[in-house]
Amino acid sequence: MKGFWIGKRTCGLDRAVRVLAVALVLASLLNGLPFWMRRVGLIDRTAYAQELATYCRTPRQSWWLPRSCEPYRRLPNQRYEGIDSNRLYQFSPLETPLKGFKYGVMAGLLLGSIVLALSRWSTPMPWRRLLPVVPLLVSLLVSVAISLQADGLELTLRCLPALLWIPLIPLAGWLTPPRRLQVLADALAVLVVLQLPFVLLETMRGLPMRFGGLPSPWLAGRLAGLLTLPNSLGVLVLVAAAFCTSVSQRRWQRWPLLLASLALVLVARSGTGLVGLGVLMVGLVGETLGHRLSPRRRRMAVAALVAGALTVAGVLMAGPRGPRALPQVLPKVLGRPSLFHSPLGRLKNVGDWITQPMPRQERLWGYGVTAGGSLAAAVQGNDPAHVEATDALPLLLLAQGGLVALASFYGLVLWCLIRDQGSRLFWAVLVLASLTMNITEVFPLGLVLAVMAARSLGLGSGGDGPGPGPGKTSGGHQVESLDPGDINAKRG
Amino acid sequence: MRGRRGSDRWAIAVVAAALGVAAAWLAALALVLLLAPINLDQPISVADLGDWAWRWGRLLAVLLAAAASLGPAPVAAPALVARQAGWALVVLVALASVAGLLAVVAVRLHLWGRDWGLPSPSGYGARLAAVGAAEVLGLPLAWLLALGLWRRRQPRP
Repeated sequence: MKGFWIGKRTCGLDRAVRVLAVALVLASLLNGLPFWMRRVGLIDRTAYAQELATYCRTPRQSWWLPRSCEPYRRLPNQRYEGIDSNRLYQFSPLETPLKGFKYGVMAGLLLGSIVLALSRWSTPMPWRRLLPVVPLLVSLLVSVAISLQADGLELTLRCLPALLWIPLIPLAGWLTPPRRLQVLADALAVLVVLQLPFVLLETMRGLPMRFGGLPSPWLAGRLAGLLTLPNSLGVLVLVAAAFCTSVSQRRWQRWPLLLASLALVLVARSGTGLVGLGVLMVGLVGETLGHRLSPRRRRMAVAALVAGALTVAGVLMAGPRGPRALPQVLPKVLGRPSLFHSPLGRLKNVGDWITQPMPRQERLWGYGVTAGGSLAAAVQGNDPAHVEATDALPLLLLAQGGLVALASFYGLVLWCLIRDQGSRLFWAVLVLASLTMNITEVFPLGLVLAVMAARSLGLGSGGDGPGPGPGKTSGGHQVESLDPGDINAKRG
Repeated sequence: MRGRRGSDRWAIAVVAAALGVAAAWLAALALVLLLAPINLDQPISVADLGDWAWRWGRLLAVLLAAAASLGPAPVAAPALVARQAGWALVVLVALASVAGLLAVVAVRLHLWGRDWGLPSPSGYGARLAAVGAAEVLGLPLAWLLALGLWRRRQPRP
């Protein structure tokens, strides 16, 4: 009877994961839909027409479609200074619940995971495996305490939703059996594919926003799809592709997903996305060679691969004499002279932050959860006098939790990298992506990070180690990591 | 599913054919909606995409109907046929979108469309690539989907 009941509960958990996957896709869509609709002129049409009219006057007219300008030339007021980006980011009270839905999903998942953990209090917990997360949890608690003391309860609570991924890590073990990870991977793949038609429409109708101060003669120089920034789109598709290739058991899914990701990254002009996809593709080719070739041939193949890559890089770097020299092509592809400026450009700011004089307590523990993040900046009115939003995860961690948070997070990532061979590519790509933006604030990357950390730490498996990646076998048999409910159900 | 009568096979075949035509028409409709904003320099003809939908729709219908009902294996469940038709729709629109986006990149890099003399070469390139991808990939996609449906009907040892 007991086994039957647990079996039913396990089945219920599978259903809960499917509901979570649908909610995840829905929340992501709702989060960016109003912003996208404003950019392509489906809502707020008058403002769209006024802003587009800027591009209908010579010499800009030749850059855009002349016929599309005809209706806008008849507008009575032609004094347009440029695109009012702030207007695009302001949403009506009706849209607030749409954007807040993602926090509802995260909070619901956290509460559900707590209830599930409490209901399994008699099941032995892998306490030892939780140790790598403890410093990050301690850092979060200290940051919350600092904010409570400095800014009060209300502001602290309003800034907390962006940090729910941290307490989720020790509780997300129930999401890590392979079939549940597969559901989450499918949801992320759907999210990437859904971006395609939206981005194609934005290519044709999107307002030419000047992200990063880059002048663009094209109607939409950098495309953000259903995200709020082009770099968010690049990083989202990169991490989603890395997650899917690491956990998905549908091997056919890999290359079509990577092709879709490449198309999106190229039109988003995301330098980090492009570098990350390159790393991912080389890693996947290496992994495939590793599975199929003997050690000797594998070494030769890797040597040939490296030599080929270096040759191609050499030809591309040959300068103006090369056929399609990188220095000529890159500014057109990415809108910037250097490919590595995007992922590595913020490291200098991290160094500046660490070396600037400040009290030891703030250096070690940061300014609290009300500092640094995009959400923190938004709830405080985007006023730089109160808080300036950071644009890289190391900076965010330093601002909110100081050196302790920075060391705790990257220590955890390093631990996962060493411990879980099946997801090394995911963690490598995540580290790269973290250097260019606050990835934990891009929904649903915080959730993905928490689930993957739980998997790599082995919090949901019945065995000794982390759950295996796709195709990882033990003794010639497919290994399936089970959560305690599954094990009891099988025994029952 | 085993032991279905002949009338069931006919019913499944008709449903599969109808879903195949519907999937092709919906894909064409989605492409028209996606490509409508660039009906500016050289307007895209809705009739062209209608022809495309009818041509590939008939082929997809024949292939799906055959894959769903012919042979000694038990006929496919209607839900499975519907899922396969849904896949046809999604994959076609996704491939057309990818082709359009890659065309935009190619035009930006001056790899394509330098001599078109149009004020909007990227939009025109996107349109050409999206419609071309839908045209070229229609046949292999229809075969693959039908083959997948047929294989899923075969009794497993």
